[in-house]
Amino acid sequence: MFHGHVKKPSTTTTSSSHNTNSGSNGGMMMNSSQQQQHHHHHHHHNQHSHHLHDHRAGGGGGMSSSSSGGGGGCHVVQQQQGDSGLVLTTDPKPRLRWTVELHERFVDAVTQLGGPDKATPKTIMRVMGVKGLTLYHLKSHLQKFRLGKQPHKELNDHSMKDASALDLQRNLPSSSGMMGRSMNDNSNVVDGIRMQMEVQRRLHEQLEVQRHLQLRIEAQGKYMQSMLEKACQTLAAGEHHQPYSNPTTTAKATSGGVGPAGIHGDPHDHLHHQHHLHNSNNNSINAEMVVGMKDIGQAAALNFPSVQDLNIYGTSIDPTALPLPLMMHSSNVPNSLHVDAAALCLGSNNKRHNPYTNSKSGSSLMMWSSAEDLRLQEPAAVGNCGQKQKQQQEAGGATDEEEEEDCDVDDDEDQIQMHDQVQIHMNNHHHLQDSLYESKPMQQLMVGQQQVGGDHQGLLLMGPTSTTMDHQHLHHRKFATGKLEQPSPPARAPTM
Amino acid sequence: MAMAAINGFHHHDLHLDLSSHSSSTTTTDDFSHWSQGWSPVVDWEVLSGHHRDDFHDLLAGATAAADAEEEGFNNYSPTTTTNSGDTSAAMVIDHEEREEGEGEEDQVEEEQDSKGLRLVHLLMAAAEALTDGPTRSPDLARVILVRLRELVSPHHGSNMERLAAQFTDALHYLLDGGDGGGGNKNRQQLIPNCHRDEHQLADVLAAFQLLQDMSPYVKFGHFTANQAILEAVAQERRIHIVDYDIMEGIQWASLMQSLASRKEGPPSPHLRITALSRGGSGAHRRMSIGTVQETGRRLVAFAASIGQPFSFHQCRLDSDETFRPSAVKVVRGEALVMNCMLHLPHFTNRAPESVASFLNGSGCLNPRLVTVVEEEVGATEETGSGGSRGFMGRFMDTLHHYSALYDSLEAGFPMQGRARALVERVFLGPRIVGSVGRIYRARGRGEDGESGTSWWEWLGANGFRREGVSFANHCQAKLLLGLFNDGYRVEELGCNRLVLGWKSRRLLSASIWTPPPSLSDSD
Repeated sequence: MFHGHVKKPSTTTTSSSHNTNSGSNGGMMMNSSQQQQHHHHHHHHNQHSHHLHDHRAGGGGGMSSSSSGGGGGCHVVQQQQGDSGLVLTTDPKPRLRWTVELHERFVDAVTQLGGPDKATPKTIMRVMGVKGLTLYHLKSHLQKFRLGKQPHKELNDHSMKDASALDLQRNLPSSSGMMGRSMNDNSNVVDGIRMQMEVQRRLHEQLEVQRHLQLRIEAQGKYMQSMLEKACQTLAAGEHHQPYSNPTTTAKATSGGVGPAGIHGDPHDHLHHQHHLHNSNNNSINAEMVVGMKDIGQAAALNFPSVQDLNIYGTSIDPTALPLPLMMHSSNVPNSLHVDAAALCLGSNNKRHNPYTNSKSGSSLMMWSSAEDLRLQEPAAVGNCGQKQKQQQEAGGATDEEEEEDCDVDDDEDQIQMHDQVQIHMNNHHHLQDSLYESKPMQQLMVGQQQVGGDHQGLLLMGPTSTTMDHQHLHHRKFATGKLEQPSPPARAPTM
Repeated sequence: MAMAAINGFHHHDLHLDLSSHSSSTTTTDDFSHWSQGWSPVVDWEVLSGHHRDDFHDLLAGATAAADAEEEGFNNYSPTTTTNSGDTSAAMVIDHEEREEGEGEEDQVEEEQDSKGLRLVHLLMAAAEALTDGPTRSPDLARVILVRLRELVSPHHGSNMERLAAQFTDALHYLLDGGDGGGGNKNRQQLIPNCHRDEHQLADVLAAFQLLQDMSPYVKFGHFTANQAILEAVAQERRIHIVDYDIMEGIQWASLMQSLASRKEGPPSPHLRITALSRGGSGAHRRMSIGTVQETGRRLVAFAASIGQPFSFHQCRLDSDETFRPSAVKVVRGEALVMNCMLHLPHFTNRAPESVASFLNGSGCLNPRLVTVVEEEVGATEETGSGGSRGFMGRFMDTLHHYSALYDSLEAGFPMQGRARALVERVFLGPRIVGSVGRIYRARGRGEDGESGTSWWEWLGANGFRREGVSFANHCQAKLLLGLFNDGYRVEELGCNRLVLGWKSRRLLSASIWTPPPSLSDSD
């Protein structure tokens, strides 16, 4: 409608020439600018969410240019700043309306400066020389401009990436169908917006799920710990009936054992090494348990007693019992996890093993990785919230015309919180690991290893033999609470 | 490294799968690949006449050099020419995938692979010799099993060797008395009077903790069910969960946590859990009651620690393990949920009749939701589970199932051989024995809907309605698997079932249901 009326500003426009221009357009400025802006979007095929948000401004789903124009301006009285030609709202926080001339000048300035990637808000401001235009305005606009310059394919790729990152393929058919449609028909802006909103919603939901999962795992861990404590107590109580109490080792032994045994994957090697190392090595609960279980595993053909069965022997939970002694099992088994854990702590191991040792310099936990996903998406597709927030901070609370994107910022804040949580969580795990390694494993390796030796040679041991063996060595193995700790005899005669 | 020949098979499967089904949503039918490359049951039966010779060959060849192995293999599956071609192709790929650095290690590996292959052959031969029909020969089975025992030990060796040892045990139990007859009685018979030493406690607990840390199986089952429950009772003030097999009760810790911290719905909803204790008789029953009580105490203490209003009840199954709905006290106004964890790796096998009575009974109680977690053994969408495939087919399914389980544990913890061995011996070994025993006893009665049918199939057939898996639930499962090593995957099937798999093998499924409308209306 008003396209033709707009005078193309020259590349060398000065603020004075601009001045007259804006003055002549007068009250039509709003509509024409909206039109032009819309036109511009289509021209450049700026499907990006930032631009989409513009369109969405007031009208929600209605995407005709008129409704877009009305939507954008209907809530605010627009005011022209006489000298610079800038159109600002009369909001408490005045927002700049990027009129077509202003945009053209902006584009010219950017071109002059060597393209959107080379131009900086500062240089643009200098080149444009428009009074009243702030760095903040330019930053925001330049950002959108850069994104808008992205070709379609890339944009679609981004969308696809979002989809796969979020694993939307299984989501509501409506959303995926929508996505498919908007892929094919780039002009269907509504779908695009809906898709973006859907993506956003999913992101948010995913974050919630992450948070919940975290808490659930922690709750489970806590519960598990109560079971372990109880088991320790029970076993410690049983200890008193034994002819001699069972010695435990100190933490030193644990670290001393991180040796050759850890780097061998082959079970035979393990056995071999453990055989040789048994004198100096840290003993592991498992080293022995594994052997003990051989018998049980075979004997208990069916209906193996469940964990809960074990707790019928005790009645109360003593919180002061040795914490987490059993949790060591996973770490002290063949010594190799020590290596693993060390590597993980150094961040040099890129393999994820265990939720509890899953450190990888804090980035391998699910929350982190998916937060990274978010990071990737934000500038590209969801709405640039990271940068936007930064801008807002820098600009001291000033806003541009896209306040409706504040929801994105909220998400971003959520996400930042999540990061914090992850960090804390990781730290906790580090502590956990530490405590695991520092706590005292059982000095039963001797017995265990002797049995391992037996296993090594033997085939299946069945029946009464295993039972007696079981009893024999099980008498040696007790979990000790602190008070029962005793130095361990360096070596014990094989019990087999 | 320790990957044994069954991995060669997996490679075989895997390559086929990857080429044809790259999407996780396609229903991959492992068994069909397996049968193509291996020996479909039909062929087994047709060719069974030849097998004796082959068995002897195998027995003789068992001690022979590794070179002779492939020949033996080819002899063994003469069914189709493509079979051996496929397999050798898979072997070639397998070889290629290894490091170029040949040499001794490679040789060792090759030997291991071929040994694994030999073990599988021997296991199949033994199972075949135990199968009813013209080839049945317990003596031959015994000979083979004795030979197997010379070859393997469950305590060391490669994955395949340890697995073979467990299966050898399982078959041996069949030979020694688990033959024919009713399931329950036999199971009782087979329960060894294991000395319930308190030391066992430590071992089982350690193994349980290990299992939790090493694999997502337990958490997957619990969290998926819990999420579904939480969604179903989001607006309830009083929630009552009837738990078929509460075990150590760890499932409810996370649910309590979520309830205590939930923001939507009425504040601090009251949770009541009714745990079923087993019927049986005498010591067994008393023990079950004792453990359930202990679990209850632990849950009460936990709930108190997080400020969750909670009460715990116990309900006994009848002496034949049948569930009577009237034994559960239902209070008006509470949302009832029936929870049925069946086959988590650390769970004990339960009689299908008992499970059926529980699920049937749940219909009468008009619960808001029924959650079921069960293992997936060779079940496919098209054929259903293998009730009709006979013992051999299901035996191979079971072998596959557990080899995938073993592999998943090994892949996550390649170095922790001892830790895995503990889990294997405490949980998986007994389960293997139980599973093989069950499918053996179930042979020939395939159709009675109790064994061989997945419970999700059973529920569907009995009019239970599917309750969709939410996005959050699916998302949670994915995130959970992301915490573990690569290779796990989750897929959603039939809109109400989340399936946890390892590579191309489905292992565990959680499904969500509401009771049949007719039953709930009449109630």
